[in-house]
Amino acid sequence: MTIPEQIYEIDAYADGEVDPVRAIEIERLMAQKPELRQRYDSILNVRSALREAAAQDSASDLLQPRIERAIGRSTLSVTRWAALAASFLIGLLVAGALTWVLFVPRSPALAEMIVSAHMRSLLAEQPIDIASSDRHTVKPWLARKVPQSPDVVDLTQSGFPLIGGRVDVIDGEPVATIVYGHAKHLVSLMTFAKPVKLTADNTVAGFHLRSWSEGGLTYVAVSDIPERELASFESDLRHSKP
Amino acid sequence: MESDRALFAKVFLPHLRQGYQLARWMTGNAVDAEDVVQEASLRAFRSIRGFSGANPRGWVLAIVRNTANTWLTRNRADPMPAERLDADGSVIYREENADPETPEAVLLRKTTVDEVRRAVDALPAQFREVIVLREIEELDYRQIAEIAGIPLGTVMSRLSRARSMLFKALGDTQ
Repeated sequence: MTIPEQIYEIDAYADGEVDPVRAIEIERLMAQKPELRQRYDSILNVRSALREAAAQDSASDLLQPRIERAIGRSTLSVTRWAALAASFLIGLLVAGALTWVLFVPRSPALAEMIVSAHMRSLLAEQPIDIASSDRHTVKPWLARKVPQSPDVVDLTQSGFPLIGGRVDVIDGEPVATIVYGHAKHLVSLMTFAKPVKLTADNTVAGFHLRSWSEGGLTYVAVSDIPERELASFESDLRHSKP
Repeated sequence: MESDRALFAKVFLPHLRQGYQLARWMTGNAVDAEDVVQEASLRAFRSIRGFSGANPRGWVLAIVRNTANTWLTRNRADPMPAERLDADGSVIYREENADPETPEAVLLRKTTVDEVRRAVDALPAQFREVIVLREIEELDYRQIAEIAGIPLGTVMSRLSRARSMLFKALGDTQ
């Protein structure tokens, strides 16, 4: 015994899958056969209960952040920097706590603060406060937040697409940070109004830093990409005009 | 070139709610649904470069659907005995409702949310997914066929059969 053809027709009608001419015929058929009309009413009844039930469903607010974290962990480089960042942060915490207990709070060197800000952004749900690949969106946003806002240039052609911007707090001062992508890595470009002294080898916890001054501003780029790629980032940036 | 993450955010995240809903109804509970959606999001992220750009919602739902089915296979015995399905998965219809004159249990009063949830949970997985794709995700037959990877005729037969099972279960609870 197969489901009677007419039942399929009622279902297709209830699902809006029949053309208008056929729909009129099915309506006539339902008027003649109460059991078909009942099938139709039952479909609508269950549909409305289902949609009412579904309207109560909502994922926890934590689902999206959780997914973004999982995505972050899924790439190899991310695993590496998450591990690095975690061990570095734990190290900082332990060192910080010990120092605090034994002596007095110390202020970490600027390079460490810059790398910490970069790492925090990698561990956060979003490495950026404003996501945009449009420099005309990022620049005004940064200009509203910080006193010295840098020119935002598009380096997509050079393999460093613009991802967005954020504001970091370095040594108590808000700093405009522009974020670029490079393969699956991120480069944070921070802008300072005063010269910045970095570490001797420009490396902190496996992250490389590069700093240069131009037009009265000091720029610091930080990333886990290889040093020579960071160098080419600097040179691409300095040779491109907004 | 857009980063994979940016592309993922653009393609997958807008359909997160619908994907969650599909997982929620296919697995029958909220906690497993979130696991399934997370797993699906990783699958989507890994294959984001292969996404054609057409119909992102269908793409997302298909991934969630496949992930949910993998999850169901791993975590649950399918309650549907094999002999009730023919080779292409369509239904060999017999036993209940064998009398064509009284094809359905008639629902005389409004079905409650709890009842309908229980009734859907009790459906075999392949029937549950078509009813959820149709009534909750509000997809048409063609879209359901694409997402579930079954012929149009099978969509119709499973949907009809799923409804008959729901009506019977709901009729019995009265």
